[in-house]
Amino acid sequence: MARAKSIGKSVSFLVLLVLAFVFLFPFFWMFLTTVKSDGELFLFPPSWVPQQWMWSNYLKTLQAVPFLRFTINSLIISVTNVLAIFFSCSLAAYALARYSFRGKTLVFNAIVASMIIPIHIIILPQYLLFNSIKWLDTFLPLIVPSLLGYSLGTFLLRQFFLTIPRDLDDAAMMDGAGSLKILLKVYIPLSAGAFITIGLFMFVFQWNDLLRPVIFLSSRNKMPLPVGLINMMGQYTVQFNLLMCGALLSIVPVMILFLIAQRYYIEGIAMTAIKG
Amino acid sequence: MKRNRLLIVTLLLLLAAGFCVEAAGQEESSASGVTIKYMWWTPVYEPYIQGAIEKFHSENPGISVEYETLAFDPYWQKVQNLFAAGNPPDAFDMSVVFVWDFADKGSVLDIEDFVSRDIDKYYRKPIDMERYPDAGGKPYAMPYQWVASMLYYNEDAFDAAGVGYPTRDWDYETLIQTSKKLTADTDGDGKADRYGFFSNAAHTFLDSMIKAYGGEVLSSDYSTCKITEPAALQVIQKCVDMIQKDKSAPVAASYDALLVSGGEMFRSGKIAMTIDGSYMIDSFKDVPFEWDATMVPKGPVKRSIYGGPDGISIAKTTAHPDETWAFVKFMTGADRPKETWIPGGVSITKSVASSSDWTDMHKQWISEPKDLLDAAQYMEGADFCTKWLEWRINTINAELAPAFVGQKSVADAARAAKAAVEKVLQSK
Amino acid sequence: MVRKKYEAWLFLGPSLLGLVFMIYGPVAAVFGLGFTHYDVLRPAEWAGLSNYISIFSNPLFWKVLWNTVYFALGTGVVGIFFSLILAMLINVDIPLQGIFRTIFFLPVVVSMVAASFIWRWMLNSHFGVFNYLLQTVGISGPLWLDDPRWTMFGIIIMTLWKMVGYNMIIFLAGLKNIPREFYQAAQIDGAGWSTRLFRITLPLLSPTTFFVIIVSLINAFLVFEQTYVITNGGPANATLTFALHIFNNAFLYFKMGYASALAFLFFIIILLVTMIQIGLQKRWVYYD
Repeated sequence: MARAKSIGKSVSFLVLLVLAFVFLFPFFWMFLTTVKSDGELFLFPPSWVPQQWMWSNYLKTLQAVPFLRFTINSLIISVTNVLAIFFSCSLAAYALARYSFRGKTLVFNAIVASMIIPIHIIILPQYLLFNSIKWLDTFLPLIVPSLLGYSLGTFLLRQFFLTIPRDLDDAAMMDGAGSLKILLKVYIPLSAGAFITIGLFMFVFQWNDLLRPVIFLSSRNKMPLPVGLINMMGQYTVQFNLLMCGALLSIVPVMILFLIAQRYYIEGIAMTAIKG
Repeated sequence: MKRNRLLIVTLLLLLAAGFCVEAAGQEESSASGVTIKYMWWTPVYEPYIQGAIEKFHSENPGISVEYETLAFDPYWQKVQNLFAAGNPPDAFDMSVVFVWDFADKGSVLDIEDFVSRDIDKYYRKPIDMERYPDAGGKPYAMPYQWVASMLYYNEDAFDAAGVGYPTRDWDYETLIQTSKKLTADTDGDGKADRYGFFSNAAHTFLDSMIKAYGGEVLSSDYSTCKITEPAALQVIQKCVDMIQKDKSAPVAASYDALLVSGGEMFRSGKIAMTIDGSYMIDSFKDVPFEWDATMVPKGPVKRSIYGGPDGISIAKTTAHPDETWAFVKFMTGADRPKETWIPGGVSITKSVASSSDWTDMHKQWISEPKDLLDAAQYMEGADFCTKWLEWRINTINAELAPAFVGQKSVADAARAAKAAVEKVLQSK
Repeated sequence: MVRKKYEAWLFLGPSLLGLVFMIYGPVAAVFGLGFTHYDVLRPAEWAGLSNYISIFSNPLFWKVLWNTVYFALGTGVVGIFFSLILAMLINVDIPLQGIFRTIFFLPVVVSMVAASFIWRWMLNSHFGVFNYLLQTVGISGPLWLDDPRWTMFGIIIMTLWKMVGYNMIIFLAGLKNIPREFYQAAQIDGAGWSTRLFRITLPLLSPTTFFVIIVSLINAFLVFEQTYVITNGGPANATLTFALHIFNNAFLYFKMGYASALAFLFFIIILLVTMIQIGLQKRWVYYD
């Protein structure tokens, strides 16, 4: 029995090892491509060690397109979205978790149901709406919706809030605290983990989002990284070395963030599944 | 209390930053006089256009021009968005591919009066291509240049194969036969490393070949698709045969800018000849081999060369039509600084086109610039009309692609293409 | 303890505005716009059912539907299978579990655009490394992105690489939730691995699997970014998926009415598929 088990373990380990290399290969290839020269790119069979390490490609990329601006735009959009959902979701979750009023179930169900409505469907009328109020080509259409709620965030926070003992509320109220104060001083600090999780989700999602910026923005100086990269592809269609530089530079921040905070991110995903 | 104050302040600061970024993105603008907005594609030419605009400013102190440039696809998205928002640029570069769409929607100004004053100075045909028949045949864009397809060839490849260079007397049959001689397996691995030609369904190549054999892509009233007729069908078959039978052209499903294109294959030396727009001269400037270009070959019925104007249109709702026309006239006339001449572009003004400056500039790259100038008399478009993007690029290329990769017979693919194209033409 | 009820409505204010103006309002708008012809520059005109008739009589639509279903089956169904296997492999008591988990999940966090760049280059028919690697094991690779028959397959492979880690995490959580006692009891009864798998693991995992299937299928139907970035729907419309088709009609041709009809249809299809799943749930999902 023990033999079989350890053979099973070894086989698992080996298979996983091979798969791990397979999964990491595209990243390796991306990096390799970034340091190849234009001519070396189109060698077939492809070269595995660059003839010359063209680190200058990174410089070329930064000069070819306003990469810094793209990054700053991404940063602004991502961070403000995170703050926006902290605002709207904590308020809504608090109301749903701690108050009873007519229509509460309806509102809650409406929020949950809205989670399966795909963005691709409602983005058309959103475009027309934002067009009519002249918000197109500004960051507003990318941020305001988060100020007006984020269903998954509200849902998760509400579930979390429900687990906080009501005694804490009572104690705070006896000290004369109003509801808002209770939310800020009691609930939010106790749910720090949940906030970090939904904050991470939103940050990564916004950093990587292509659909909304490509539809709502058109000026080059407002483009976040994904759109900036697409633009770069239009101008430097087949200069894959530069394109890979762009891709690599764009994923480094998120990769670092993820490696630092992966516990929260991964647990968060598991959480959505369990609660869902 | 402190913490949420901090939060609110941060949120507001970042929102403010967002607005500032947007405001800061505006290009230069002037405080006095009339201000007009101009947009064009190809950001690479910004320094030259900037120079031209500065010259215009010095000659027209009461008018100041704000400008913006974007790459082709995002440029059109932004222009269309601006029109949709009711805030279009006063002047903007117009592609002959879209001029009907804009005219049809009543977005651009008819410039017949402006143009007719000096009509003799200009090449007629490109201006005619900017005319929209459904609105009295008025022109809706003023061309500043026209471009035409040329036959590019890799001299080193020809030398290696011991074959004579193409001349303007070539016809398509010669091209097809020579292609076979230029296909070579240089490293002996059984696969061709260089092909003779890049055969595809691109409008810069296929449509003119069809016309040269007496065929048509669309009927003259733009209502039916005629590629199932014998002449057109025969041409498509020849193009497909180059890939599948002769193996003298590589397999590529579509001439799509997203994939490795004919231009790129020529640059990397993988194909010896390609027919492409004269604007490709710019991207071939720095290739590591000797190359040249000549006229597109003739067909049995006639010589037809794909070409068309690049022009500037004026928004119908512009608040300053006269000032905008003054700017457009400057940008399209003899005053346009020669630093802004785009390699492979021919000025609409005949005197400029035949000037020694222009010839000298192009002699750097092609041995006979006259081969490009003379293309004007054979120039035909690719049936530009409304919804052109949808039926020519997205539909015809998609429906013919299976034939080019050998998965469908040419007749079947053409039939499917005809049905799909006519569906688009009839749709609203 | 009395809480003022108006406070609840105040707190819900932003979210309610969002539900109305950003979500449900647009759904109603898309429904209405589907009955018009509207190009944004000129006022909308009533078109009755002509958009829908146009959709169903257009062979392109059926191709788009097929492309999307093919993709959904490839990444949804096959992907779930792979995710589960990965999760089960990692769940075994082996060293470096955390590192493996991170490695397989890494592709999930990078942007789809960046991933698309990488794979567009790797799958390049003439210079890509993918075909080169196939060559070394004796397979003559197809012309991936140039061949209408193989492009979608290439995009499916790319999406599997990108998304398998996500469901793997969910399955890992689900597996960890299965109480050890079951396996211990099974061992005492002398049950072999296949009995353990089919009688314990899979049934107890079924709520998780159910969740994964629903979410993965919906997300697979929505595929947009890869097809937009890598192939733009080509070649020969082989990778033209529903979301991209809607995008083209709305933002390339500015046919807002037609695009809305497509979008609403899309919504109904997704809703139907989800409801069918939920209905079937009683048949195979085991809740304790």
